[in-house]
Amino acid sequence: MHLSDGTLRRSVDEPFALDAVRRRHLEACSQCRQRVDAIRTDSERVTALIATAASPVIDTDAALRRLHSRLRVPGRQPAGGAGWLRDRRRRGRVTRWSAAVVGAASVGVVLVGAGAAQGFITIFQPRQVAPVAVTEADISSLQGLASYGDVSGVPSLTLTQVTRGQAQALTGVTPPSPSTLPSGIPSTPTYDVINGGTVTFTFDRSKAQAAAERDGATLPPMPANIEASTLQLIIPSALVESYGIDIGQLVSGGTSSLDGQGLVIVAALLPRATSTGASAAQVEDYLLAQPGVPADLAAELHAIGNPSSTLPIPIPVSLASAQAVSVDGAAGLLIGDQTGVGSLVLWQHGRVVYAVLGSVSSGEVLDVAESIG
Amino acid sequence: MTETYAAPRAIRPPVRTASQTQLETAGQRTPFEALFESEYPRVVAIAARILGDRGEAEDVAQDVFLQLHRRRDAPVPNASAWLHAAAAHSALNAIRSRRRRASRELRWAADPPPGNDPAEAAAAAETRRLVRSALARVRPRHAEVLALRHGGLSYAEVADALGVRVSHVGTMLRRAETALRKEIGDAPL
Repeated sequence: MHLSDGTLRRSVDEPFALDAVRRRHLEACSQCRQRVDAIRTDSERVTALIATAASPVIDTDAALRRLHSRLRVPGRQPAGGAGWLRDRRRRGRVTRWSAAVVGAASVGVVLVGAGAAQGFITIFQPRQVAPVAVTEADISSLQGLASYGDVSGVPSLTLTQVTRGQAQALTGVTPPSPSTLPSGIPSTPTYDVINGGTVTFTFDRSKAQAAAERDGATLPPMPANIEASTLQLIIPSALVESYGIDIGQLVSGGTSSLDGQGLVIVAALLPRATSTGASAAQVEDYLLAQPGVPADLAAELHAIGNPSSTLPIPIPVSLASAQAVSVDGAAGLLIGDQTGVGSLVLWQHGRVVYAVLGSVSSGEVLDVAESIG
Repeated sequence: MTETYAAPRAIRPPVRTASQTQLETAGQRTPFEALFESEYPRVVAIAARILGDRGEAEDVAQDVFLQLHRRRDAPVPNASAWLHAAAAHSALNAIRSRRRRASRELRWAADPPPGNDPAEAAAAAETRRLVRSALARVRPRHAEVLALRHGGLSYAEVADALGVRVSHVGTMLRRAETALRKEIGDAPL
């Protein structure tokens, strides 16, 4: 059975979106290859027709100032006190647990990068999660990968209190309504949003060479398609639904644990990555082959399988252990904090990754997760 | 702006909350601003594919962000998808509006596309006019899918914006490209 025009058209833009059966058919079928060539030619002609000659550089700051002036609101605040944001705004670094959840793509950021600009192909659309044990030393070594190119747009993790409706609009996620809560936990939640962003990474051979020389190491040859690639990682904004705990207060108070009876649900659309050339597997292979990347970590990341569909969740080995669990039929991870601070369960349903964490037992966070479904 | 990347920025100890004034001084963004920053270039790109004019595309982008902001009492479930769809729809309305079209032709006359060769510039302007005209004549759904995909969205994002299954986007796009080429026909390009 030949591939449809629609499937062939998508293969032109997103070749990795084809499943293995279709990919093999396309490779083997001369008729489909001829059709896809014709479709590609048509597509390129249309691209040339509707391309714009204008400079692609857009001054977003100036555009935002213009929008502010149209909103008649002084300063940088577009919504006033009663619009998208309520008066009470807070910013800060989130707790280590919620940071771990919201920053679940940290390793992914290093391995791939993402986004959606013209010419980009999607290389990373995770369908499952997998734990990766990391140590402080691992984290330090991964930071060194910044030496291989230019990174911009790393989100600042601003935490803002919003209404339920605003949280949904800003994150694209319907706020969960658990039917079960541990005893002693108040049933009325508050909502916050942690802003996401688009991280862009461009490889730079000269930077990588200089970094290797500083470390007295030899840089593995950089493949041409790696060097020419720009990667982007879109990290969607995350919804934080808090029960019996004021996340903003927690942050501003400088505490790093969920003291007392409290429960937090975090939900966000999955991050995704695109590339102008290299595939996720090629990027992973190249970066993990670099001098300085611990062999154990590289082996662990390789072992979790297809990097285009698995989201690595970094878990500090000194902090927690992880075990596979099932949440309403979906594969998830249960992370028990060995320091006794609390428990966390993380799972994926459709295009949303959820986490429930709290100063309660593992069984209780699992019950809450199951009641969300 | 390019900055040195520190990998797991998320895993950090908490810091004390700054006052709103301090935040603004330090240039911290609100969620709406973050949305604006991440989506504005893409919204402009989508509108520009239909309008063929960056300035007018920015006008449309400003309008759709303003509309989104004013919907705060009736939030949309996926703000990005809403912005993408609104950009394509608004740009299409603009080229279908006789008044806006007349205004645009005046703008082109006063400010021709850049280029050293006047004949080349004139030919490019004529191509853009023909494409805009063809986009106004094809089915709106065709024009929208062309603008969204060629404006830089992934198939999943196009599906979100149009409210269709992602597996249907390739078919829609193929049909739209065929329709546009047919509409332009033998026009001298």
